Amino acid sequence: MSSEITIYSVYEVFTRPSLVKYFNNTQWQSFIRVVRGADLLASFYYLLERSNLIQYVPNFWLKHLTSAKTYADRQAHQVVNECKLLESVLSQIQVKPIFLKGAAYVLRQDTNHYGRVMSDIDILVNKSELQMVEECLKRNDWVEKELDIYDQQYYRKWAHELPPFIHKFKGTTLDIHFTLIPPITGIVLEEKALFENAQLTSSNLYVLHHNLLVLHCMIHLFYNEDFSKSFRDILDIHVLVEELDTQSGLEELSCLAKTMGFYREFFYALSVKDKIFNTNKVSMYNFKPPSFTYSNRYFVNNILYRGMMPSHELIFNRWNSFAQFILFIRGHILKMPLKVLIPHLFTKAKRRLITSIMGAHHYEK
Amino acid sequence: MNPVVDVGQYRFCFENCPPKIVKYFEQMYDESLSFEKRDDIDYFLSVNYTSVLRRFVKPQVCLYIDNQRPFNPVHPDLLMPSVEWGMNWCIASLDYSKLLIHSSVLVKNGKAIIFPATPGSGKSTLSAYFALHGWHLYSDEMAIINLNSNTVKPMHRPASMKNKSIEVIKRYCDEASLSETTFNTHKGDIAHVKLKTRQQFDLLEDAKIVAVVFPKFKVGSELLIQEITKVEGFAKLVHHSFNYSVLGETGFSTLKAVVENCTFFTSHFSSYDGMGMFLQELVD
Repeated sequence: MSSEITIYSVYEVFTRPSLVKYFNNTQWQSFIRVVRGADLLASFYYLLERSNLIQYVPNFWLKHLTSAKTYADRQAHQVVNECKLLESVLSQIQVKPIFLKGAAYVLRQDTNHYGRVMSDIDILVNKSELQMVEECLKRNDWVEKELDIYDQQYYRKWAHELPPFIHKFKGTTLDIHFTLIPPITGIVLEEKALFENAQLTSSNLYVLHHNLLVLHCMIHLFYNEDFSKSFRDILDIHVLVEELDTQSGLEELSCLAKTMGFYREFFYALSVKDKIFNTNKVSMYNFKPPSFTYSNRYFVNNILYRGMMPSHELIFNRWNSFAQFILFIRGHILKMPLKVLIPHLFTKAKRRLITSIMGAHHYEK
Repeated sequence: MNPVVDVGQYRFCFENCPPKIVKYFEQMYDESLSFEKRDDIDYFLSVNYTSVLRRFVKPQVCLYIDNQRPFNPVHPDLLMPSVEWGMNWCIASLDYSKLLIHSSVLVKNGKAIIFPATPGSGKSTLSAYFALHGWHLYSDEMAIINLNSNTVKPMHRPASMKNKSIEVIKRYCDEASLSETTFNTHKGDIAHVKLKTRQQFDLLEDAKIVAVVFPKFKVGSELLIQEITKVEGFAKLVHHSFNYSVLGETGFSTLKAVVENCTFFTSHFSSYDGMGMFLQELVD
């Protein structure tokens, strides 16, 4: 490994954490910065702990890793409590929420939850319950998060989703979903398929069935608008898939992906995970690419591979930001019907132009 | 080369630092400031223009800490206080290896008194005043308490003065130790006052907290000092702490060590006359 930290060495270190044994202080310094920027400092602490490598971390850097761990541990603790409180609030209207993403990993005690920090709690409820849920939350100290008028319209009118809620006193942010894919795509998932196999965790709260949970993470990776935190998502997928694989669940996952119409996402996510973390799930199970092989390979090896990197000025270059731009556009094309996409991109482009002139925070209150 | 500010506990490196800020650092931090490339920096703070155009038209800069932007963008002329706030932000949001209380810390005879308070209660002015009258100022913004102990750490930093307190402090310090005033920030007019050279700072050691005083400056009020119970004091300390809730059990046992070994007071004041005697008694 060279003395400079590059994106490739960030991928390498997460794949082979024993490389930290050879880190000099300059490498530690840069690495900690990049990983802190990606919100993964505490996750990295736990990766080192699982690999019995903590003793190789010089004290100066260990202080930073343990600080992040302390914060993440506390958050995990709080998340469980928040979920329980939320469940009891929604029990007033006999709604049983299914917890998604970060909160679900914590409730299930998945390996990737160790050190994983999150900015909000996501829940899934039936579409027919949305209005009731909104009213119930508002009666119980939750308020709509302040958004600018355009974004608010985007949520209500185009995305057909409730805007995020925030707890008046605790500041917890809550995202309420009724499906696993942005509704604006027009893709309708059968509600039964989402709810019927939900699993009860030890804390007596519901999460998605394991396979669906992994698939949701894969879908989320592509239908995202913000690729700056993608590395955390692909790391989630990596750890979840490795866990699932020991229970011989990958075949089932691929079947589920096919049935639900997300085989493409499944295949791409698994391929880029293989490439980044040097595993061979795709070839081991002989999963077939969804369409033309050459363009698939190019997409995975160049666009996705580069687009997944943490965005930090120390390692970012034009190529990588181009890759993230492509993914951003692709995410939009996947997501929106043309009659919505064109005006939306037009508005966003106008806003981007204005922010490039007026500065990045022109639209913030 | 980028300026590196070493405050004792932490080292900060400033990237794209405007010359004006470097000058400010030179005035306030003397030997705590260096320009060498180092590999033991705790936190990097980058000053970036929010866009190319904004470099020239209605200029606007922002402080970034590894992708995080804790404050709203400001005009470059208003940046000076932000760099101090940026350092505070790094400590308060990224270091969980100490218990941090929003408080100033004065030390004499190796004994510390901490003054936890919300902004506007006069804690900074009070601490700068006494720092210029024979006390050591360990920090004017946060008490950095070693975990599971009642000892507090010093930082080599200037004290921050707001609005009228700038005039008050001007009377007691020489001109060279007072920074330029930054007018009309969102917290008002701000200036910093340097209280120690690096060499003087290096002589300071961790000090035991013997008393906690909750100060409240009020124009025209008589000096009123009341002892309060440890229970009440404990609750108030929790309220003023930055990271007590994150530290969990360790936070509790640290506060317990503090509470068991100190006395608590509330104090209303409009001048420092009687205050000095009272504080002196606490550390005799």
